Amino acid sequence: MALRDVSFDVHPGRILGFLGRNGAGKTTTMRSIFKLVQPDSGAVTYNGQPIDLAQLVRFGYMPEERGLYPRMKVRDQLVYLATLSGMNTSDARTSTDMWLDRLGLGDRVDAKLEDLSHGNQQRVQMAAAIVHDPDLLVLDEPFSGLDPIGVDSLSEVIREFASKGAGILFSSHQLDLVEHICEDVAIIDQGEVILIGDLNEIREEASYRRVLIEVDGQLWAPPVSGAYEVGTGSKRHHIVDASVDVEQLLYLAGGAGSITRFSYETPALSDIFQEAVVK
Amino acid sequence: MTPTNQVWIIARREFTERSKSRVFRGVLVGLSLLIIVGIFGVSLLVGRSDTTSLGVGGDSPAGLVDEIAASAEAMGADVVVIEYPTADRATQAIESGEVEAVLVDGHTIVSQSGSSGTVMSILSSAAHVAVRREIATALGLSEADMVSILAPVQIDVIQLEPEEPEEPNQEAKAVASFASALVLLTTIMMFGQFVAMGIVEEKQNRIVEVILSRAKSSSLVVGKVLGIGALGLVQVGVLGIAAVIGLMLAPLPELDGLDITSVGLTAVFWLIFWFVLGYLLYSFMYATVGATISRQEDMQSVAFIPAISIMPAYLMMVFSIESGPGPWVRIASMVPIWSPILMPFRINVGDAAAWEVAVAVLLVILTIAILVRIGSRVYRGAALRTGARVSLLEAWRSGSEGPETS
Repeated sequence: MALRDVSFDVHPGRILGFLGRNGAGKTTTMRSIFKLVQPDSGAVTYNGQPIDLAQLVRFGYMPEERGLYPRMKVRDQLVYLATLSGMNTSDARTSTDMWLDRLGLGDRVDAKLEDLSHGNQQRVQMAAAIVHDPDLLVLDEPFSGLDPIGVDSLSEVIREFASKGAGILFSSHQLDLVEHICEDVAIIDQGEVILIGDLNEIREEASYRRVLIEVDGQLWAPPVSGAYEVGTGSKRHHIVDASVDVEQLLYLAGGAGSITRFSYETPALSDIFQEAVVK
Repeated sequence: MTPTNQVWIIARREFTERSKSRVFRGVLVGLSLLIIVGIFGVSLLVGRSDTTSLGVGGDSPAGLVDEIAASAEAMGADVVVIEYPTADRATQAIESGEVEAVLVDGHTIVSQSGSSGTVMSILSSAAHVAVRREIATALGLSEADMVSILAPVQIDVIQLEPEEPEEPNQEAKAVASFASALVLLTTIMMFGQFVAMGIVEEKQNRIVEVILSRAKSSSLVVGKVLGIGALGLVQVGVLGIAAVIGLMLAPLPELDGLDITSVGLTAVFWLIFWFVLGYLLYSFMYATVGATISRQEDMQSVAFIPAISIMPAYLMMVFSIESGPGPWVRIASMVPIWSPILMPFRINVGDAAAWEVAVAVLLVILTIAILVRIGSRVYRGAALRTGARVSLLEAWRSGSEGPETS
């Protein structure tokens, strides 16, 4: 995948969701942080400096293509990866045991990876990205293949790292999850970053609002100019211009009958994503 | 964290994880025992076949048995003499295979088919001496006269064109050089192939991306080669020590000047020395070709490249084992990809001058340095390419480091 204009910042202590359709350039961008691909021009910097090996080992990476040594014991490979990232052996052991315990694998430390269930292998993969206590986490589709409990514990880990001041960049197709966890978003399309910023600000600044009004149990179409219906089935709602006054909407709806449901929100991430990439 | 630390950590993992393998340990113990038992057994066989059983029967002159023993000792042969009461019994003993030849009635040598020249001269000279002793006794000569008459005449032999005296250790050296060349060839190829398999395995498992996100690709290649090489060194060392133990324990026939233990120890030293050089050279070649594939099934399509590179050296050595190294072998032994097989062969048979060894070693080291660079670059270009085989040239091109890589 070729990248053209991919510029964005990951800030310490903040979580950046990296969105884009398949083939948009997410994985290539993440690989370029780790010099796994070489850009023809442009630079990846950390605190304004080019990234050297000493800095690189302070990053944690979970590639989209998961992989570990199948026949190596779980603890051994995590200790190995942690020491490879510059931890001394005793710190690496302590950190490995702590994370395996927290991820519910405390009793499987001496099992070979291939003897673990798929879900547990995913947990070890997650541990591999964080065992050396990185300053920056780069996670490529970290939630894919996780069950709801796995999703929860990974979200918790991500938030914990952010609260310790680590920068976090992760890509996902699960927009509701991103909306839930992220403070910042970047949307990439055809190798180009087309939207970047604080998620709440982006939503506030949107020129439209999503409204869902039910009068007498029926979806009610607001009689204001520019309003239109989107979604299907239970997701049906309306889009109105951001300048439309909420109180006026409420008044109009009340005049139409008895209001059984009323919601007026900034657009969801999925709306913003749709608008940005579909155009 | 420096690249050197990472090389060390990667090498240590390769070594410890692979040395845990039951197959590796089993093969090592099995081969060592096989070598010790083999050397012991062969030396027993050699020792036994040196003893010849001879017999006497019928009306023998007095002291014949002692004369046979004395004559055998003079000729450096190890014989056992069995006395039979009658000529018939003695002849039967030949037919039953109990003895090789018998001296009947003090004047007739009977054997199954043609006996060796040594056996014939032992028996006939003993018969001569015994018969003459009887005659001398009958003539009434004193013991002193008898000794002086019967004493062997010292004959000097002068050759106008003397043959080169055959070096006593020649045969042992030829065996040692063939054996060590065989060990070199098999271990270099075996552990070289382990390197290629290890690289493919990491691509296939996809762990390569996890590793390369925190270590340089050259560190991974070099660390892997060193770790697996250390394991190979352990194997070669243990097998070499087993061979020396076998040589020391074995009841080897004591032939003049043949010090088989020192020949063995020297061969083991050169074996380890050339294993290190040969392994490094070929393992980086294996690493380079291994990087271009992503599945073990494709291994055969690339592993033949190092294999056909090393084979000519082995064939040249085999063909010159009898005749000794000719001019072509001398030239070929200076070619870096062939030196690791041909140079130890020349050293073992005593053909290599010190400067030739030194130049060959330097050339091999230079070649290793070049192959490390090629291997690391190809690996960097192909490590994340999965699926079909990547051409070497393509991998080389995409393996160039970006402008601002530090």
